[in-house]
Amino acid sequence: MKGLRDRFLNPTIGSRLRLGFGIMLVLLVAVTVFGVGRLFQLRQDFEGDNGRAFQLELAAERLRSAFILEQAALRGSGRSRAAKLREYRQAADVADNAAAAALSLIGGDDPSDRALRSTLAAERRWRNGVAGPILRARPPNPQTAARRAGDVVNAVNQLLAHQRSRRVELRKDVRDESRRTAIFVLAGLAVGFVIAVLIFGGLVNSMRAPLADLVRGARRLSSGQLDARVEVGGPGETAELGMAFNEMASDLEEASRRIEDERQRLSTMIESLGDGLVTVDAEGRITLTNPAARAMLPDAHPGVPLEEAFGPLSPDPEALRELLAGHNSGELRLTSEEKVLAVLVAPLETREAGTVLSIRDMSDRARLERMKDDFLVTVSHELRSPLTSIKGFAELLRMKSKGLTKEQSQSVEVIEESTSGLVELVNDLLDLARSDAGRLSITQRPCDAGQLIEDVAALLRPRMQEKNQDLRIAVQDGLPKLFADPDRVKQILINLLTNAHVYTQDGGEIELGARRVEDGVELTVADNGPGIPIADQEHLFERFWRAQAGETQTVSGSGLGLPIVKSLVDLHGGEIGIHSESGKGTICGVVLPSTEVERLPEEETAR
Amino acid sequence: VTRVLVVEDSATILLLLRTRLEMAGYEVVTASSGAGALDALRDEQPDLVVMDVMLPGKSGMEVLAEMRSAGDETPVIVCTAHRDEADRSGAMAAGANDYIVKPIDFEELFEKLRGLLD
Repeated sequence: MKGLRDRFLNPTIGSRLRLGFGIMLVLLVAVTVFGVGRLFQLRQDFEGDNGRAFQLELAAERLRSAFILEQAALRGSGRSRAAKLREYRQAADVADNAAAAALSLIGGDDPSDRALRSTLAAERRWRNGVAGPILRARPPNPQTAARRAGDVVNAVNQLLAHQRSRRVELRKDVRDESRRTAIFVLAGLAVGFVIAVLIFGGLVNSMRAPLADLVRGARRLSSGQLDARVEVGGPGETAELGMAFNEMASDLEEASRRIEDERQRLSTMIESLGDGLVTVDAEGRITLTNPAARAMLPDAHPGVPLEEAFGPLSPDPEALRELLAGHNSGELRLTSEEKVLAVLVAPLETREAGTVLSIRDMSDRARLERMKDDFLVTVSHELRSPLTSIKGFAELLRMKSKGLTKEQSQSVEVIEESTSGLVELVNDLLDLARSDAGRLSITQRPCDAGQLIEDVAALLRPRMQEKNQDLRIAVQDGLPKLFADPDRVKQILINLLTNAHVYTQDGGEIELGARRVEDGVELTVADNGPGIPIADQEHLFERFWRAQAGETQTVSGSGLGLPIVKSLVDLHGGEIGIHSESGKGTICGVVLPSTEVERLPEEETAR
Repeated sequence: VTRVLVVEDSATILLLLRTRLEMAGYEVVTASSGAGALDALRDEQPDLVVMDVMLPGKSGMEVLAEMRSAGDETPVIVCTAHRDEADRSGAMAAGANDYIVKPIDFEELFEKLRGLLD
């Protein structure tokens, strides 16, 4: 109902156009039909009138001729009376017929009509009454007949003159009437046109203001004024357009508000992050920073090139540029005297290329690690003097063991052994601390793997013999020289061999080997001990972790051997691999560079 | 008789070194500080010096540097807490002839002494 009323009150553009065209068409058709009909009718009437007048004139002419012939029959000499009578009668018949025809045609009320009618009536009366009987016997008196014929001819002449003037009048009437009809048709068309113009004009007028309003609204929207609304008005579609526009603007405003809320939320989160956050555009200029980032990098302001913002922390600019240009995430570590920053770099997945950097201040952690390392170094340093004394004096005691009882000698041995263990532990701890601090150094030079293996075997053979273990050596012929730190290689071999010795049962077999491999020389320590359970294998390089050698057997050792071996192998740029099968034994292989393949160590040797 | 100057601030280690060196037949003179070491060098004219790197006051390194800059080419074996320290402290570069690491392996020390004195 409402829709219907709305449509009635506010017709659509289409219905208005239809109305305008309809009115125009109806008027056009009506006026045209009327005009054409009217002209046709006029022509019909004119032709009818004209025809009748023409016939009347013809009849009148004939009548006049008949009377003239009558007169002619009466006149003349040389003919008999009878011939004259016969001719007169023939002429009189013709005149009678002509008079009858003329009378039937005279329909008008004009004086000339009336005159002819009464003249002819008088003539008939005369012929039927007075003249008839006489005429049958002899022709009438020519004077009388001539007078009478003269009357008729006069009347006919009068009528003819009247008819001629009437025909002129008729033609003039038709012309006037045609002109009036044409004027009427033109006026009707003009009125239709004016009505159509009014309707169309009204339509255009009613649309113009709302459309202009819409255009203004759209401009305001596009310029960011999301509160822009239009007044709903105009014909149906325009009003609908206005409503749709307002709806769209509301939705847009709502969406924009949501986005703004979301942005606000994100912004608050970013602002309150403990980690520093910096975004960088495609040119490497900073676009955004949060307070944490500004605290860590005081020069980080929007617009500043990132490299400048890093200031004294500035890392390798090439590496930084590569990270910024790349499409992959990466990490960077910035260090200076007082600061250590860990930087995570990730490309922004947006239309405008850029990068987001998340910066964590690692200074405290780095300081703690340094403190830990320093502590370890200090402790192991401080332990050395007392250890030197204990070891030295125990040795002194042993050297003078002749004066000691057997029990005392054994005590001295225990002291010496324990001291050796302690010295090893301190050395290992110090090595690890230095390795962590990147201060463990190696001096690589060519050295003979076979010789190093012999040295280590000689050093440890006495301990092997205590457990009746068979130590074999298998060094490949023609082995290239190692390019390594000989002391460290010895340390590696001692650690590995000690492990094999400790974990292999009494009477077991241990083999020290060396062979050429693709990347250098592989040193191997193999045993036929119990092997390492799969579950334990992942712990092998963990500090202070020790494998169980058996149900009851306790294992001595710090649990630092393999971690140190790994650090040393890494320093050489080598590789370590341990393969173990439960019940069958363990084989541990270390690949070190040879002089054939002088590989650069992974890390520069610390200075 | 070969005279060895031992510079060491720890009395027990000094005692240990003196005992072992004398047992091996060396004549031992001692000092427990950098300044004392320089005095002993001048007064005792030792054939060889065994010197701890860490000394109170003037460090072993400084003593070594002063000796070498004064043209004193007496062989010096420095005694360090860790192998790395011999390299890192620059003792070898400063003119030490060799080094030993604590805890002292006396066999190694005697071998090095013999090598330097020949």
